[in-house]
Amino acid sequence: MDITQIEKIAELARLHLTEKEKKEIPEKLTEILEYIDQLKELDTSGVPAELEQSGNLRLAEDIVDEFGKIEALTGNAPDFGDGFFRVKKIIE
Amino acid sequence: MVNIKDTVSKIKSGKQSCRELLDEYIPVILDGQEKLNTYITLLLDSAKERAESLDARIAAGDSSGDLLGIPVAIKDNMMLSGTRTTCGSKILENYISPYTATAVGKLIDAGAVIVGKTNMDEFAMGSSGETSFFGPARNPNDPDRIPGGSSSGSAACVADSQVMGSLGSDTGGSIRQPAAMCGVVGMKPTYGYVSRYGLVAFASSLDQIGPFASNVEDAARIFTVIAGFDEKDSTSIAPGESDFVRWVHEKGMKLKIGIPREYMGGGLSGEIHNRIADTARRLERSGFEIKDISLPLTKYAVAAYYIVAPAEASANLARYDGVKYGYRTPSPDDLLEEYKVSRQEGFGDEVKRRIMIGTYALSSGYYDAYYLKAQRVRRLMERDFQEAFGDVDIILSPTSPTTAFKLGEKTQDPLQMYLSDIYTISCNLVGLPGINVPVGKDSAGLPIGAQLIAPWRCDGKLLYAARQVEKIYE
Repeated sequence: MDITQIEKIAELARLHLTEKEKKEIPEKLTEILEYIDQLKELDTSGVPAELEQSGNLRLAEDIVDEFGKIEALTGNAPDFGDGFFRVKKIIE
Repeated sequence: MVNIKDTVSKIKSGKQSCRELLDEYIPVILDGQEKLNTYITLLLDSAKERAESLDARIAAGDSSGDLLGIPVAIKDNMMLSGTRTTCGSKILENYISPYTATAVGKLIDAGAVIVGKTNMDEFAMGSSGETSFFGPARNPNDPDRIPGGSSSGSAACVADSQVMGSLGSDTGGSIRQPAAMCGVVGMKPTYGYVSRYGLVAFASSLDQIGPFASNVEDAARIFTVIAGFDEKDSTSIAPGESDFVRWVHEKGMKLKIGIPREYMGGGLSGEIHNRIADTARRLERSGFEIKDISLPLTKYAVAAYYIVAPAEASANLARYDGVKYGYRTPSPDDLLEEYKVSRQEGFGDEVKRRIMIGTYALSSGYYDAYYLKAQRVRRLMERDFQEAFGDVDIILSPTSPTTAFKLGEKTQDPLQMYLSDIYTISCNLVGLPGINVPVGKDSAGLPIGAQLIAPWRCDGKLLYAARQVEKIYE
């Protein structure tokens, strides 16, 4: 993996990389990806992409349930006021 | 040896109060925290209040609860309303749980007293406890060594007798591997048996909560309390039985036990190999049939795991953007920078590494080659196990290829660290129940763990087998 690829992935992941990370990450990631590549040896054609047992999965009813403790949620926000989560200006 | 059942009986019969019991544990907890850094947050004041209110309840004639007065700890990725849940990360350093996880709520309903939230690898990503933002927990058997991970504190606090039990979470071995390293029982139940509601998500298709205890019966007792269907977890399944402790006392059930040759080969320490082989011989002498079996896809487990887990993690961790909760960088230029820099500063190296791998594996043009491929390999591995379990009842193997290693020994080599979970990862990929049972110590005095794996939804049989192994080493 080269630095251009790393930067593209970091952008997708919304991760700023420091100069140090830009130096270190490619080597470690390449090593891990080479290891992962051994899966290519396996023929998986026609094999379902889920476990047989996951047939148990269900969907919940779409019902609104009162949580009742709004402050417990908004209290965790870095900047909350007037009923809004405040962020940097996004419209010029 | 003190166990939960006798301790609860003592409390119910009035021989000891919950507060008196807690007071016996508090000095051990404080001493352990000092030496081993087992907790991220201690909750001793609320534990004292809780013990006293339980005593008042008992005095008023209500002494219900299978864990009445029992001091326990929970991993710091489980919500307990009003307490901090950090997940071992700077990004959640000041996060206060808005509600209580289902499994934790069940402990409380059963009368348990929660003394603290245990140290862990950041977002449960690690095999040694060393990725914790709050510094590593240490192994009670040798404080220069790691306690295993990611449920490092939950294993260490039980091994150090600071509590009678704890909860951990296991995504690739994060309960069983530290249990092996510390010398305690640690169980990863069938996927879906314990609700994940209120557990901070890492890799949702692999994560499962389970108990740590000093013996199999106590583990079964805690598991019985926390297991059960939960509407709030879409992958929850009903266990279909309500008492797993009875399996521990089951007698005379004959089992055919398979030992996969792929789990006994290269990379495994000689002493551990010999101990597992010896355990098998002794089980054979007790009347169990031992069989050499094969799980041919074992060598691919770590590779499949390091696609699935980071992919799901990269999606789950996208929510940490410094807007609704969590760390926010002080002075960003714009909103996009705010996201990127908050995440850069808030996450540690290993978490960022996995987000990068996962994002890559899910990115356009690579999804089929990585994530879908790994998902298909999981299905093949499931067939592998189904075939093996067509012939044997239980699988016996080592839990980890080595005993506890030194702090700092593997931090520079992520791949070597990943391979520390080589025997535990398959259970998660296939959703099977597995358990670590201590089988004595090696020549350096470090605990060795045996892993047992049972077929899907055979957690009771797993506990029965675990008890048989435990008996050998009593």
